[in-house]
Amino acid sequence: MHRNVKRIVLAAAFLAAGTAATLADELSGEITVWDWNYETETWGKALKQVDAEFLAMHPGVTIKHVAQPHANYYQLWQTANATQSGPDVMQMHAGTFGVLTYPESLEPLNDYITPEMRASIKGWEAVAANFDADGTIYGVPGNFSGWVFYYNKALFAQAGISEAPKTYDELLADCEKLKAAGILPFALGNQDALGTLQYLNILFPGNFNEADSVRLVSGDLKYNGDEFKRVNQHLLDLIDAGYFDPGFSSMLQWTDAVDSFASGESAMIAGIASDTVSYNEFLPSLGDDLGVFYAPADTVSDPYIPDSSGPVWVMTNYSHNKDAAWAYIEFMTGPRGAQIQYEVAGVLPINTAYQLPDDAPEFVKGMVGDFLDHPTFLYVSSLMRQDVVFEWMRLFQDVIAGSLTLDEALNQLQDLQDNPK
Amino acid sequence: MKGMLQRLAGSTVAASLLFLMPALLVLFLFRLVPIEQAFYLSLTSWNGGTDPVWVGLANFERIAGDPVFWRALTNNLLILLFLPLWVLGPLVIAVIIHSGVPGAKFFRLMIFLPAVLSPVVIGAYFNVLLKYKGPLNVFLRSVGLEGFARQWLTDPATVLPTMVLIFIWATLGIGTIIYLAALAQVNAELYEAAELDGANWLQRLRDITVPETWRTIEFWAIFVMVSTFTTVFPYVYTLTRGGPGYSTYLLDYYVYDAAFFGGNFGYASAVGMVLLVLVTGVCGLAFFLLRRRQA
Amino acid sequence: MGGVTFREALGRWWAAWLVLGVLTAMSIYPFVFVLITAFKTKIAYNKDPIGLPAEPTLEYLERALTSGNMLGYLGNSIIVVGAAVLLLLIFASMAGYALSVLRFRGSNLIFMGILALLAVPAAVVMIPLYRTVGQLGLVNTHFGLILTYTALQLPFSIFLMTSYFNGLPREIIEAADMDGATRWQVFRTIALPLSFPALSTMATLNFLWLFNELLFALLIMQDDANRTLPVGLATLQGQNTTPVPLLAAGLLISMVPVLAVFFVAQRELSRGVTAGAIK
Repeated sequence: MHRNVKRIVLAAAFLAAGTAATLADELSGEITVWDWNYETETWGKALKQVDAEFLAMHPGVTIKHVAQPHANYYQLWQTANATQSGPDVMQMHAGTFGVLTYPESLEPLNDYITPEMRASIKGWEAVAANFDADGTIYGVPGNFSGWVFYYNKALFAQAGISEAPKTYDELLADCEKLKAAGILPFALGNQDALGTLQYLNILFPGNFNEADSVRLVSGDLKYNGDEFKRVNQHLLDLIDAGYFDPGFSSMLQWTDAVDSFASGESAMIAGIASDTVSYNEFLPSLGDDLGVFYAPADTVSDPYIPDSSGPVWVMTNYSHNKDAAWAYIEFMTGPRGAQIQYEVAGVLPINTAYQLPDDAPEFVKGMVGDFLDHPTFLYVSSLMRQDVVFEWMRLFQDVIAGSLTLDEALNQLQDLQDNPK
Repeated sequence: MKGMLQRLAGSTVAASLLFLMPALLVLFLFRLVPIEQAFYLSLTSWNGGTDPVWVGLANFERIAGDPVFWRALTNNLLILLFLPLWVLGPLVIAVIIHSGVPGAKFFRLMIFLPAVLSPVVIGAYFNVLLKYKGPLNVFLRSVGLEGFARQWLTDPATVLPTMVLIFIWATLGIGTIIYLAALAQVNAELYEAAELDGANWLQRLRDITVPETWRTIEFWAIFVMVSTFTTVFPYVYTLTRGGPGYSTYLLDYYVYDAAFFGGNFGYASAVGMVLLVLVTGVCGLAFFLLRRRQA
Repeated sequence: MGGVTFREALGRWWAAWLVLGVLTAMSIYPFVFVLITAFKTKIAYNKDPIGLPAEPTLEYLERALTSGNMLGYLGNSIIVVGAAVLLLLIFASMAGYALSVLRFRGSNLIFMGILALLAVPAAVVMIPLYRTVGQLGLVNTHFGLILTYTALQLPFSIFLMTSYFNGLPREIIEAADMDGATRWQVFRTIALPLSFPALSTMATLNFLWLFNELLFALLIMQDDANRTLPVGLATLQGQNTTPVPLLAAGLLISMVPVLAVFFVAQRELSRGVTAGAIK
């Protein structure tokens, strides 16, 4: 940590003096960087600043930064990858959603990662083969993007609730009180089936500890077994009880549900710590009324916080400029990169080498503290095989609509797990 | 060299081939080779990264027992139930425009207008229009028809018909223009004679218009039928992504989904091959029937 | 018509006007909706998705043009589609001439084979086509997309040209043949000028289709600087947080060029659409 700080001070000094070009630096050539946030207003600004500072430190390097559409991101990556014409560095989702689905195209990073880096960054299991942080590492966690419940303290108070629920039963009781007070308990948009997935991801650790989570996705526990069914049934019960907006199936989590919660129309929302559906979108309108609570306990008494380790940063194994590519990843995920991302876009640091400034909002400091103190583990839909996840999302929509029973859906899910296409 | 070219150009086959060469070359490289490769991939398991692994007919055996495949095929066939509306709707509109209604030229122009919009634009537009709190439902509620407000694109009961109606709407102008061109060639005396005999509007449609434009109706029906298998992808993609659940999951969307979200390009190619055989079958059958009528 | 009063016309035509009026409204509303919505604020839209904007804003239109880079995408679209349309004009007219006028044993078979390609779903060849383009080293180049587009529209274009040449009177060409002109000369000086209506129709239709193409543009152009308009639009729509007015602004911009073509090339359009359908 001390070394990093020194490096930043040095870099800053050179920058200020305008003599960055004289910095002895053997890196050169072009690197191509892909991400899906580059054209967004807040993230994009932060990434552009990261690029600019990186280039100032390494004048021999040029960056070709490609903004990819989020909806087609992995499609583009797979087609590029098929001809090994992918980027040198790219942003990916953690776990099986991204990194761990493509290990044969990614550079193992164990030899690049310094011990300091290793110690200051949390969440390595999200980018490691078999979710084992001691195994082969294919990416570097970018930020804290845990999946959490945000709630509106004012609306809770209005319904006579004084503190956030810690267990599923308390959650259920609070929903009933909210509903009785004429307040819509949850904001949800499920047109693309991603909304319910977020709720399921947060409810899941209440019934699965870390070891059982891995056993489920590796096939030792069954998707049509009682534990997994219980998680699904919980969400179905909440829906059946009328705790969601009746129009949720044609709304979107990222826009409609966010608007609903931010404007105080609903009391809770399943969101992410950084990124979209995050505190960034709620703090301006809700202020001190914004609260957060984590995966409610059910059969597991102290559930882990489901985390996605933010977008993570990876390098392709066919990159022609691995030194520069690694330097970029190191800078992006290092303390200065974390600082830029926090200051410009409010992205929560996962690297403890960067400390939040004293004047950061109490809410933010509290949430980052919770993450550092608590056990965290990859959220379940990034542990599962991705074809099984997509099947789950679709089947769950069918179950909500009543065209399938939960048992039928889970049997079909287990069948796909056993007989991959 | 020039002399040889000229001599070559002298023989009809060689000359024709010279004229055909550029087109055939492009078609070979960019249309035939990919089909051949898709066939090869359908016999492999391939995740897109490492080399494809030969699996023989395993993908096709898996398809036979794949509930998602059968769901998609069923949806494709359900769409065909709308064929009568799809085929005859534009005909009726063309007849109305053709009947000498004042402003015919203007209406013709306006009804054709959506045909120039891209599926991406159409999909994005209807996606917004048909939201639960979107313009259509807001309008229905404001005029006292709230009973008709629906979750158009997310209720399994309404989503497939809604999507098909959007396809029909998007192709309505093209169909109308085609029928209008056919109607222009029908002998007007036939109608005059029928009118003298006291035939009403519907009888004239049944006894004169339909038989006289039958070739065009056949053409349009085949065109529409093939379209439901080959060109609906962008609509599914922008409107529903096959959802909710599998309610609007169609075969060509399955190819895409199995490849890029299921992660197996081999299996996806196998589904694609089945689709190709199906479409070729439909075309071949239609072609055969037309030939037989002609004979 | 002059002698008929509006009242009389209404009495006779009200039913037809009603049907056609509703259809016209359905055709026009997308344009009206997009035009109105692009100038609304997000909050105003959420409150009232139908009415006129109370306080019109240029914010979203500006964002679509600047950070959305819609003008850059438009430039790429014009380059790629323009070049592909040009190649199609040349290749398809030559091929159509060979298949219709020159004819030879097996030319019918080739014609049917080319037509059969119309029935191949794009989804089937998407992945291998991308591989082919990659193997030729043309991924991320204008040329790669131009050739892909040419191949995509060739079957239809050849079909159109062959049908058109089939309808030309044989005598003209035979007379020129007798004069000792080479086949190429006959094609260039007689057949091509005669086929101007077909060529303009083909150019118009291909322009519209290719201008609207998404799938291959997305796969082949991976560099943001090379992308076309539909991809830009999909990017806008694909961002989870894009507000409706911003999407409307993007839609509005992408509608302008096709609307221009629609009104300028009216005749070519309806001629092209009906080609081959009637006979």
